[in-house]
Amino acid sequence: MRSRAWPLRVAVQTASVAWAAWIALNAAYLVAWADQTRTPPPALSALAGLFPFGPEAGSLSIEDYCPFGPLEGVVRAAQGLAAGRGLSFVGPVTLRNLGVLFAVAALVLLTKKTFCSWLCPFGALFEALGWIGRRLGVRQARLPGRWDRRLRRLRYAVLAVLVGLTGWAGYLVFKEVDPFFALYTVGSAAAPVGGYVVLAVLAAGALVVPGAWCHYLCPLGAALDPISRLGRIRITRADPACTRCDRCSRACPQRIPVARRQRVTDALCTNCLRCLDACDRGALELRLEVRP
Amino acid sequence: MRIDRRWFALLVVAVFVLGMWGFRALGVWRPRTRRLPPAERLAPAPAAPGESGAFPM
Repeated sequence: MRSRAWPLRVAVQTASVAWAAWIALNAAYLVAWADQTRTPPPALSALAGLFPFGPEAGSLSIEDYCPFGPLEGVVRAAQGLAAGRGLSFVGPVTLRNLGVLFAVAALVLLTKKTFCSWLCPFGALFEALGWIGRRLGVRQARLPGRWDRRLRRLRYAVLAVLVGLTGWAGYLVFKEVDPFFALYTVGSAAAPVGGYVVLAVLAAGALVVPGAWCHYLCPLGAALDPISRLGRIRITRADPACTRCDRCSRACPQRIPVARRQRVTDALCTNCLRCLDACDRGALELRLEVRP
Repeated sequence: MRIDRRWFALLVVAVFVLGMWGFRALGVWRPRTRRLPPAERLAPAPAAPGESGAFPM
Protein backbone atom coordinates (compact mmCIF):
# COMPACT_ATOMS: atom_id res chain seq x y z
CA MET A 1 0.00 0.00 0.00
CA ARG A 2 1.27 3.47 -0.92
CA SER A 3 2.40 5.53 2.04
CA ARG A 4 0.55 8.75 2.78
CA ALA A 5 2.11 11.99 3.94
CA TRP A 6 -0.71 13.29 6.12
CA PRO A 7 -0.14 10.99 9.14
CA LEU A 8 3.50 12.11 9.21
CA ARG A 9 2.50 15.75 8.99
CA VAL A 10 -0.11 15.43 11.73
CA ALA A 11 2.47 13.70 13.95
CA VAL A 12 5.00 16.51 13.45
CA GLN A 13 2.32 19.17 14.00
CA THR A 14 1.14 17.46 17.18
CA ALA A 15 4.71 17.35 18.48
CA SER A 16 5.12 21.04 17.67
CA VAL A 17 1.91 22.02 19.48
CA ALA A 18 2.91 19.87 22.47
CA TRP A 19 6.35 21.50 22.59
CA ALA A 20 4.89 25.02 22.50
CA ALA A 21 2.34 24.07 25.14
CA TRP A 22 5.12 22.64 27.29
CA ILE A 23 7.08 25.88 27.17
CA ALA A 24 3.93 27.86 27.92
CA LEU A 25 3.02 25.59 30.82
CA ASN A 26 6.51 25.89 32.23
CA ALA A 27 6.68 29.65 31.93
CA ALA A 28 3.17 30.41 33.07
CA TYR A 29 2.56 27.95 35.87
CA LEU A 30 5.44 25.89 37.13
CA VAL A 31 7.90 28.70 37.66
CA ALA A 32 5.16 30.92 39.10
CA TRP A 33 4.29 28.08 41.45
CA ALA A 34 7.94 27.71 42.47
CA ASP A 35 8.22 31.45 43.04
CA GLN A 36 5.10 31.48 45.15
CA THR A 37 5.96 28.48 47.29
CA ARG A 38 9.67 29.35 47.50
CA THR A 39 10.60 25.79 46.62
CA PRO A 40 12.60 24.56 43.65
CA PRO A 41 10.67 23.73 40.49
CA PRO A 42 8.94 20.37 40.66
CA ALA A 43 10.32 17.32 38.93
CA LEU A 44 8.06 18.00 35.96
CA SER A 45 9.77 21.30 35.34
CA ALA A 46 13.24 19.91 35.95
CA LEU A 47 12.51 17.21 33.36
CA ALA A 48 12.21 19.96 30.78
CA GLY A 49 15.99 20.36 31.03
CA LEU A 50 16.29 17.11 29.10
CA PHE A 51 14.83 18.75 26.01
CA PRO A 52 17.63 19.82 23.68
CA PHE A 53 16.38 23.35 23.27
CA GLY A 54 13.29 23.44 25.43
CA PRO A 55 12.88 25.27 28.69
CA GLU A 56 15.48 24.38 31.20
CA ALA A 57 14.49 24.33 34.84
CA GLY A 58 13.77 27.98 35.16
CA SER A 59 11.70 30.47 33.27
CA LEU A 60 11.38 30.62 29.55
CA SER A 61 8.66 32.41 27.73
CA ILE A 62 6.98 31.35 24.52
CA GLU A 63 8.09 34.77 23.29
CA ASP A 64 11.63 33.41 23.16
CA TYR A 65 10.58 31.10 20.35
CA CYS A 66 8.63 33.53 18.20
CA PRO A 67 10.39 33.91 14.83
CA PHE A 68 8.34 36.99 13.98
CA GLY A 69 9.78 39.23 16.70
CA PRO A 70 13.00 40.19 14.85
CA LEU A 71 10.99 40.93 11.70
CA GLU A 72 8.57 43.11 13.63
CA GLY A 73 11.46 45.15 15.00
CA VAL A 74 13.46 45.26 11.77
CA VAL A 75 13.08 49.06 11.45
CA ARG A 76 14.43 49.62 14.95
CA ALA A 77 17.30 47.18 14.26
CA ALA A 78 18.18 49.03 11.04
CA GLN A 79 18.08 52.38 12.87
CA GLY A 80 20.42 50.98 15.54
CA LEU A 81 22.85 49.67 12.95
CA ALA A 82 22.78 52.94 11.00
CA ALA A 83 23.50 54.90 14.17
CA GLY A 84 26.43 52.62 15.02
CA ARG A 85 24.76 51.21 18.12
CA GLY A 86 24.95 47.64 16.84
CA LEU A 87 22.06 45.25 16.54
CA SER A 88 19.19 46.26 18.77
CA PHE A 89 15.82 44.66 19.28
CA VAL A 90 12.39 45.76 20.38
CA GLY A 91 10.94 44.78 23.73
CA PRO A 92 11.45 41.17 24.79
CA VAL A 93 12.89 40.24 21.38
CA THR A 94 16.51 39.13 21.50
CA LEU A 95 19.08 37.09 19.61
CA ARG A 96 17.18 33.97 20.66
CA ASN A 97 14.32 35.00 18.42
CA LEU A 98 16.78 35.77 15.64
CA GLY A 99 18.06 32.19 16.05
CA VAL A 100 14.57 30.81 15.54
CA LEU A 101 14.04 33.07 12.53
CA PHE A 102 17.40 31.88 11.18
CA ALA A 103 16.23 28.26 11.49
CA VAL A 104 12.89 29.03 9.82
CA ALA A 105 14.61 30.87 6.94
CA ALA A 106 17.06 27.98 6.45
CA LEU A 107 14.15 25.56 6.38
CA VAL A 108 12.18 27.65 3.88
CA LEU A 109 15.24 28.10 1.67
CA LEU A 110 15.55 24.33 1.39
CA THR A 111 11.99 23.05 1.62
CA LYS A 112 9.73 26.04 0.77
CA LYS A 113 7.21 27.15 3.40
CA THR A 114 7.11 23.83 5.23
CA PHE A 115 7.30 25.73 8.50
CA CYS A 116 3.68 26.81 7.90
CA SER A 117 2.19 23.39 7.23
CA TRP A 118 4.46 21.16 9.32
CA LEU A 119 5.82 23.10 12.28
CA CYS A 120 3.84 26.24 13.07
CA PRO A 121 1.86 25.47 16.26
CA PHE A 122 -0.57 28.26 15.49
CA GLY A 123 -1.29 27.01 11.98
CA ALA A 124 -1.71 23.47 13.31
CA LEU A 125 -4.37 24.59 15.78
CA PHE A 126 -6.33 26.48 13.14
CA GLU A 127 -6.07 23.52 10.78
CA ALA A 128 -7.42 21.30 13.56
CA LEU A 129 -10.30 23.73 14.09
CA GLY A 130 -11.14 23.57 10.38
CA TRP A 131 -11.19 19.77 10.62
CA ILE A 132 -13.40 19.92 13.72
CA GLY A 133 -15.74 22.32 11.90
CA ARG A 134 -16.12 19.82 9.05
CA ARG A 135 -16.73 16.98 11.52
CA LEU A 136 -19.39 19.03 13.29
CA GLY A 137 -21.11 19.68 10.00
CA VAL A 138 -20.41 23.41 10.00
CA ARG A 139 -21.12 24.83 6.56
CA GLN A 140 -17.67 26.00 5.50
CA ALA A 141 -17.14 28.80 3.04
CA ARG A 142 -14.79 28.66 0.09
CA LEU A 143 -14.20 32.14 -1.22
CA PRO A 144 -14.39 32.69 -4.96
CA GLY A 145 -10.96 32.58 -6.62
CA ARG A 146 -10.90 36.30 -7.35
CA TRP A 147 -11.64 37.22 -3.73
CA ASP A 148 -9.22 34.63 -2.49
CA ARG A 149 -6.39 36.14 -4.53
CA ARG A 150 -7.28 39.67 -3.40
CA LEU A 151 -7.55 38.80 0.26
CA ARG A 152 -4.19 37.03 0.24
CA ARG A 153 -2.60 40.44 -0.34
CA LEU A 154 -3.99 41.44 3.04
CA ARG A 155 -1.11 39.52 4.65
CA TYR A 156 1.37 41.98 3.16
CA ALA A 157 -0.68 44.89 4.48
CA VAL A 158 -0.73 43.30 7.97
CA LEU A 159 3.04 42.80 7.76
CA ALA A 160 3.63 46.40 6.65
CA VAL A 161 1.40 47.84 9.39
CA LEU A 162 3.02 45.70 12.12
CA VAL A 163 6.58 46.50 11.02
CA GLY A 164 5.83 50.18 10.36
CA LEU A 165 4.01 50.90 13.61
CA THR A 166 6.51 48.91 15.71
CA GLY A 167 9.37 50.84 14.11
CA TRP A 168 7.61 54.13 14.74
CA ALA A 169 6.62 53.38 18.34
CA GLY A 170 9.76 51.50 19.37
CA TYR A 171 7.89 48.73 21.19
CA LEU A 172 5.66 45.80 20.32
CA VAL A 173 2.51 47.84 19.84
CA PHE A 174 0.37 44.84 18.96
CA LYS A 175 1.35 42.63 21.87
CA GLU A 176 -1.92 43.44 23.64
CA VAL A 177 -3.89 42.02 20.74
CA ASP A 178 -1.43 39.30 19.72
CA PRO A 179 -3.45 36.06 19.46
CA PHE A 180 -0.33 33.83 19.51
CA PHE A 181 0.92 35.40 22.73
CA ALA A 182 -2.58 35.19 24.22
CA LEU A 183 -2.90 31.50 23.36
CA TYR A 184 0.37 30.50 24.96
CA THR A 185 0.07 32.64 28.07
CA VAL A 186 -3.49 31.56 28.76
CA GLY A 187 -4.38 31.89 32.42
CA SER A 188 -1.18 33.71 33.38
CA ALA A 189 -0.91 37.27 34.64
CA ALA A 190 0.81 38.34 31.40
CA ALA A 191 -2.09 37.22 29.20
CA PRO A 192 -3.49 40.12 27.15
CA VAL A 193 -7.29 40.46 27.20
CA GLY A 194 -7.36 41.98 23.70
CA GLY A 195 -5.42 38.98 22.44
CA TYR A 196 -8.20 36.67 23.63
CA VAL A 197 -10.79 38.65 21.72
CA VAL A 198 -8.72 38.40 18.52
CA LEU A 199 -8.05 34.72 19.21
CA ALA A 200 -11.76 34.00 19.69
CA VAL A 201 -12.62 35.76 16.41
CA LEU A 202 -9.87 33.86 14.57
CA ALA A 203 -10.93 30.53 16.09
CA ALA A 204 -14.55 31.11 15.05
CA GLY A 205 -13.30 32.15 11.61
CA ALA A 206 -11.23 28.95 11.30
CA LEU A 207 -14.37 26.86 11.81
CA VAL A 208 -16.17 28.63 8.97
CA VAL A 209 -13.32 29.58 6.60
CA PRO A 210 -10.57 26.95 6.93
CA GLY A 211 -7.10 28.44 6.87
CA ALA A 212 -8.38 32.02 7.11
CA TRP A 213 -5.53 33.13 9.36
CA CYS A 214 -2.77 31.47 7.33
CA HIS A 215 -4.15 32.47 3.93
CA TYR A 216 -5.28 36.02 4.55
CA LEU A 217 -3.69 37.43 7.70
CA CYS A 218 -0.43 35.76 8.79
CA PRO A 219 2.39 38.32 8.51
CA LEU A 220 5.14 35.72 8.98
CA GLY A 221 3.81 33.73 6.04
CA ALA A 222 3.86 36.91 3.94
CA ALA A 223 7.45 37.65 4.93
CA LEU A 224 8.51 34.12 3.99
CA ASP A 225 6.96 34.25 0.50
CA PRO A 226 10.03 35.62 -1.33
CA ILE A 227 12.36 33.04 0.25
CA SER A 228 9.88 30.25 -0.45
CA ARG A 229 10.18 30.90 -4.18
CA LEU A 230 13.84 29.86 -3.90
CA GLY A 231 13.01 26.61 -2.06
CA ARG A 232 14.90 23.69 -3.60
CA ILE A 233 12.63 20.80 -2.62
CA ARG A 234 9.53 20.96 -4.77
CA ILE A 235 6.63 18.97 -6.07
CA THR A 236 7.30 17.90 -9.65
CA ARG A 237 5.08 16.16 -12.16
CA ALA A 238 5.99 13.13 -14.26
CA ASP A 239 4.06 13.65 -17.48
CA PRO A 240 3.61 10.04 -18.71
CA ALA A 241 1.74 9.02 -15.54
CA CYS A 242 -0.47 12.13 -15.28
CA THR A 243 -4.04 11.77 -16.54
CA ARG A 244 -4.94 15.46 -15.98
CA CYS A 245 -7.65 14.43 -13.54
CA ASP A 246 -6.99 17.67 -11.58
CA ARG A 247 -7.30 15.98 -8.19
CA CYS A 248 -3.98 17.48 -7.11
CA SER A 249 -5.18 21.02 -7.85
CA ARG A 250 -8.41 20.46 -5.96
CA ALA A 251 -6.54 19.06 -2.94
CA CYS A 252 -4.25 22.09 -2.67
CA PRO A 253 -5.30 24.35 0.23
CA GLN A 254 -3.37 27.21 -1.38
CA ARG A 255 -5.35 26.78 -4.62
CA ILE A 256 -2.22 26.30 -6.71
CA PRO A 257 -3.12 24.73 -10.09
CA VAL A 258 -0.71 21.85 -9.50
CA ALA A 259 -1.98 19.93 -12.53
CA ARG A 260 -0.82 22.76 -14.78
CA ARG A 261 2.65 22.97 -13.25
CA GLN A 262 5.63 20.93 -14.31
CA ARG A 263 7.23 21.89 -11.02
CA VAL A 264 5.54 23.82 -8.21
CA THR A 265 7.72 26.85 -7.60
CA ASP A 266 4.87 29.03 -6.32
CA ALA A 267 5.76 31.03 -3.23
CA LEU A 268 2.50 29.98 -1.58
CA CYS A 269 3.34 26.25 -1.69
CA THR A 270 3.94 24.94 1.83
CA ASN A 271 4.83 21.38 0.72
CA CYS A 272 1.95 20.00 2.78
CA LEU A 273 1.98 17.09 0.29
CA ARG A 274 -1.81 16.89 0.02
CA CYS A 275 -1.43 16.87 -3.76
CA LEU A 276 0.86 13.84 -3.51
CA ASP A 277 -1.67 12.05 -1.33
CA ALA A 278 -4.47 12.93 -3.76
CA CYS A 279 -2.67 11.51 -6.79
CA ASP A 280 -3.49 7.83 -7.24
CA ARG A 281 -1.28 7.49 -10.31
CA GLY A 282 1.92 8.47 -8.56
CA ALA A 283 2.42 11.20 -11.14
CA LEU A 284 3.70 13.67 -8.57
CA GLU A 285 6.87 13.39 -6.61
CA LEU A 286 8.94 15.43 -4.24
CA ARG A 287 12.33 16.28 -5.69
CA LEU A 288 15.43 18.12 -4.60
CA GLU A 289 16.49 20.29 -7.51
CA VAL A 290 19.76 22.09 -7.09
CA ARG A 291 19.46 24.08 -10.31
CA PRO A 292 16.73 26.74 -10.56
CA MET B 1 16.80 13.65 -6.60
CA ARG B 2 13.54 12.04 -5.50
CA ILE B 3 12.72 12.35 -1.79
CA ASP B 4 10.58 9.89 0.12
CA ARG B 5 7.81 11.37 2.30
CA ARG B 6 9.20 9.87 5.50
CA TRP B 7 12.65 11.25 4.83
CA PHE B 8 11.11 14.58 4.01
CA ALA B 9 9.29 14.70 7.38
CA LEU B 10 12.56 13.88 9.12
CA LEU B 11 14.41 16.49 7.08
CA VAL B 12 11.91 19.23 8.00
CA VAL B 13 12.30 18.58 11.72
CA ALA B 14 16.07 18.10 11.49
CA VAL B 15 16.73 21.31 9.54
CA PHE B 16 14.65 23.34 11.97
CA VAL B 17 16.24 21.85 15.09
CA LEU B 18 19.76 21.95 13.66
CA GLY B 19 19.16 25.49 12.42
CA MET B 20 18.41 26.61 15.96
CA TRP B 21 21.29 24.60 17.34
CA GLY B 22 23.59 25.96 14.66
CA PHE B 23 22.74 29.51 15.59
CA ARG B 24 23.20 28.65 19.22
CA ALA B 25 26.56 27.03 18.44
CA LEU B 26 27.74 30.32 16.98
CA GLY B 27 27.76 31.47 20.57
CA VAL B 28 25.28 34.27 20.19
CA TRP B 29 22.19 32.52 21.47
CA ARG B 30 21.69 31.05 24.89
CA PRO B 31 18.31 30.17 26.33
CA ARG B 32 17.20 32.69 28.89
CA THR B 33 16.94 30.65 32.02
CA ARG B 34 16.46 31.73 35.54
CA ARG B 35 17.57 28.80 37.61
CA LEU B 36 16.06 28.76 41.04
CA PRO B 37 18.47 27.94 43.87
CA PRO B 38 18.16 24.67 45.78
CA ALA B 39 15.62 24.65 48.60
CA GLU B 40 18.18 24.75 51.40
CA ARG B 41 19.67 27.95 50.05
CA LEU B 42 16.36 29.68 49.69
CA ALA B 43 15.70 32.47 52.10
CA PRO B 44 12.31 32.50 53.79
CA ALA B 45 9.71 34.40 51.89
CA PRO B 46 9.64 38.07 52.87
CA ALA B 47 6.80 38.91 55.20
CA ALA B 48 3.85 40.50 53.50
CA PRO B 49 2.55 43.79 54.93
CA GLY B 50 0.50 43.01 58.02
CA GLU B 51 2.23 39.66 58.60
CA SER B 52 4.54 39.18 61.54
CA GLY B 53 6.73 36.25 60.62
CA ALA B 54 8.35 34.32 57.82
CA PHE B 55 5.91 31.41 58.07
CA PRO B 56 2.58 32.71 56.84
CA MET B 57 -0.36 30.69 58.08
